[in-house]
Amino acid sequence: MDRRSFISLVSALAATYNFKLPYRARAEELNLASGTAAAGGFPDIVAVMGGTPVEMLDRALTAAGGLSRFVKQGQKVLVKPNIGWDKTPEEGANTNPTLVKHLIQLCFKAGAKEVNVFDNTCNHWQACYSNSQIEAAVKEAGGTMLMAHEESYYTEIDLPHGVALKKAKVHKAWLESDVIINLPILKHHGGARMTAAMKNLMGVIWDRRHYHRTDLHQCIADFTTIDKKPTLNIIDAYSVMMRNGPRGVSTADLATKKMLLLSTDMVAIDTAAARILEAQPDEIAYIAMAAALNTGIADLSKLKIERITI
Amino acid sequence: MRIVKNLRLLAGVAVLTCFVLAWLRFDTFGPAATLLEHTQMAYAIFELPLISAAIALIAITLTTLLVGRVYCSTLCPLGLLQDLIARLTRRFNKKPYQKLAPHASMHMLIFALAAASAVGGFILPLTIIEPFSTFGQIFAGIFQPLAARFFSATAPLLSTGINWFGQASAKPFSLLNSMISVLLLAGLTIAVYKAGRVYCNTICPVGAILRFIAKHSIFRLAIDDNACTSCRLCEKACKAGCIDLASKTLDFSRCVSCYNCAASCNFAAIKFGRPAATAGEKPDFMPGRRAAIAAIAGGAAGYALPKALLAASQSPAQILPPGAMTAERFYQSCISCHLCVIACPSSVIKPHSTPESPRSLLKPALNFDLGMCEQNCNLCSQICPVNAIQPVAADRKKLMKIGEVEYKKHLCVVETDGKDCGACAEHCPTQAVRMVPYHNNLMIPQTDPAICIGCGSCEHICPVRPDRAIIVHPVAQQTFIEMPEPEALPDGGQPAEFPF
Repeated sequence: MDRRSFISLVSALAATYNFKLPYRARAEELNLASGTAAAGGFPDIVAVMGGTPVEMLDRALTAAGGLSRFVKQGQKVLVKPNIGWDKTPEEGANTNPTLVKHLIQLCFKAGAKEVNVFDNTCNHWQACYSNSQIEAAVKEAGGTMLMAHEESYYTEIDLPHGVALKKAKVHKAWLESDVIINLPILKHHGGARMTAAMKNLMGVIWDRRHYHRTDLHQCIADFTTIDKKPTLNIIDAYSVMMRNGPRGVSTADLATKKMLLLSTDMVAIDTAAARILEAQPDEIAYIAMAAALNTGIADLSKLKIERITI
Repeated sequence: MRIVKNLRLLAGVAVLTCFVLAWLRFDTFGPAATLLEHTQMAYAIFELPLISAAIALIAITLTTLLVGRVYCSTLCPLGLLQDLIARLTRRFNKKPYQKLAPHASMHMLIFALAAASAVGGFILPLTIIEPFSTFGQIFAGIFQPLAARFFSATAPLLSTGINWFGQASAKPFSLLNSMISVLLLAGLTIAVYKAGRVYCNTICPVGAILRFIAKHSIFRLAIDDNACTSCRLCEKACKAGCIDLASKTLDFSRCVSCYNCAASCNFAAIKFGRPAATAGEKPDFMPGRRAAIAAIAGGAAGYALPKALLAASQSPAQILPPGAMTAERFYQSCISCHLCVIACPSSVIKPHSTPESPRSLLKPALNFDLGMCEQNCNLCSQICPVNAIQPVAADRKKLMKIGEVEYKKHLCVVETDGKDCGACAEHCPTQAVRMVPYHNNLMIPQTDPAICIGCGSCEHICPVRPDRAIIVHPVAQQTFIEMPEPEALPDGGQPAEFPF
C-alpha cells in the first residue's frame, strides 16, 4: 500500500466513525406506535394462566391474532428481554430464556429477516448475557446478541412530549428495527416499585443514572412518548419476584404465578401486571404519569381483556 | 548454532506474543497469561510451598545449571521486551554493543537491598525492579488502557454483533501509575539503546540469582582460541556485553543465552562445551569478598531501614481486592504485577490513586467509578501469581466482606428532591441497602452493615454528584458475612384466578 492509498483509507475509516445520520422516524414506524385502540376486534390485553411459559405464549399470540399480525416478511425484529443481572434463570431476575428462544423462533417463522437481542445490563454484561442463558438461547434460535455496554452504540433522540426527560440516548438497534417486542419479566422493584413493560425500557437507554437523579417515575413515563414504541409487549409472570427486587437475594423471594400477559399497550399491560404483584393501584406512580401523557390506558374497565386459563 | 538461535527467537516471539496479547486483551487471551505466570521466577519463589511452584523453581534452576540463562531470552517477559526494544531502536544507533563491566558487587548489593527489604516488610523496591512486575506495570499503565480505548472505539465500526474486538471496556488511566510506567519504560528503553541488556546484569533480581547459578553451569558457551580470528563480530553482537575479545573470554554468568554471538561468528568459534579447569582462566568475575560484603551490608540495610522508618499498615485508606485479607498482609505480598488490574472485568481494580504510605504505592485498590466488584466474580483471586489476593471459592466470595456501606441521607435524592430513586438498593446483592417507607409515599434507603459485603454496587450506581449519597469504606480485616435465613413469602402458591 502506498502512502496515498493509506491516507485515503485512514480518512475513510475516520469519516465512517464520525458520521452519524440524524435519526428521523419513518412514517411506517410512526404507525407502529402502540395502538391505544386495538385493531380488528382483537383483545387489548391477553392474560394466560396455568401453562408452561411456552404454552402460554402460544395461546396468547393465537388470541391476539398470531405473531404474523405484528411481524411481516423480511422485517428486522428487536426482542428486548430483561437481562439486567448476573443471575441464573432459576433466580427469576431475568426473562426466562426458553421464552426468548421460542419467541425468536416464532419471529423467524413469521418471516423476520433478522432478530436482535440486547440489554444495557446492570451487572457486567458478559456475565449477564451468559449466566442468564439468554445468549445461548438466542444463538440456538438463530438470533443475534448485540452489545450495549458502550456509549457509542447509542444515538441521542428528542422526546418533545416528555415532562422531565427531554432527550435520551437510545440504542441504535431500537431505532433501526422494524418491529420491537418488549419481553420483560415481572418483578418487585425497590426504587420504581415494579419492573415490567415500561421499566424494562430503561435497558435500551444509555444513562440510567440520569433517570434516578432527575425523577425516576416521570422519566420512565416520559420515555413512553418516544415516536417508535414497542410493537408488542409480553410479560413473563411465571415465577414472580415479590420482594427484594429487582435483583433478588434468594429464590425465597419468588412466587409461582404461572401467568403471561400480552398487549400492544405498555400502560395497560403494566396496570394488569401491578395487580399480579399485589401492588396498590396508586403505588406505582409511573403508570398514572404515562396514562396522563396519553401513551396508553390505565383504566382496565375500559379495555377488552381476554383471560385464558390452561 | 544458527539453528539454536532461531529456535530461541521462535520461542521468544511466541512467549512475548502470548504475554502481550494477554495483557492487552485479558478477556480473550487470559488463559495464556495464567499459563505463563506459572513459568515465572516470581511465581516459583513466592508460591514456593505449592508443588507447581517448586517444579517451576527446580526446572529453572536445573536448566540454568545445565546450559545457562535460557530463561532470560525465552520466558522472561521483560527480557523479551528488551529484545524487542533493541530490534526497534538499534537501527538508530549504529554503534555496536561493547563489553560491559561485570558490576558484580553492585548487582549483589541491589539484590540484597531489595530482597532484604522485602523480607523486612517493604516489598516496593523489589517490585519495581522485578522483571515480571515491571512488565506488568508498563503494560497496565500504558499499553492496556490505550488498547482498550482502541478496541472500544473500533468496535462499532466493525459490527454491532459480538466479535473479537468488541469485548474490551475502557480501562481507567491512573495518572500516578501511568507516570511510573512511563518512567520505567523510558529508563528501560534508554538502557537498552545505550547498552543492551545492562538491566539484566546490574539490577534484575532474577538475573542476580540466575547469574550465580550460571557461573557454575555444566555446559557453557566459550570462545575457541584456535578458530577465533579476533574479528570482534561476536563482541559487537553481544547484548549482555559479556564477551571480552582482548582476553578471548565469555563471561557465561552474565550471558542471557541469546546466541547472537555464535550466529554472528563466521568460523564457528563460539560453541557449547565443558569448561576446562585450566589455570589460565582469569577469575575476573565476582571477587568473593567484595560481593559478600555488598550482600551483607545491603541485606542489613534493606532489612533494618524499612522497619525503622515505616509504620505497620493499619486499616487501609482504600478498599483492597477480595482475598487481600488485611492491609499488612497484602502490602507485604503483592508484587504489583497488575495482572489483577488488567484482568478485572468490571475495571474496578486500579493502583492506589493516593497511596497512604510508601507501602501501598503501586498496590491495587478498588475504585467504583466504572463498576462494582461483581458478586459472582473471583477472577483476581484466581490469577494472582503470588497469592497476595488469596484464592476465594466463588460461593464464599459472594459473602466476602471487603468494605462497609455509609449512607448519607442529607445528600440522597429522596431527601433533597422528594423523588423516588432506589438505585443503590436495586443493585445491592444482599439487600444490606433496602428501601423502606418514608413520608409522602416515598421509599428511602436503609442500611444493614452486618450483611454488607462492600462490593460498591450502591456507590457505583448512586446518581448524586459531586459527592455520592452512599459510599463504601474499607475494612481493617476482610471477613465473611452470614446471610440470615430468608423468611417464606406470606402467601405462596398459584392464584386460582386473575387478579384483574
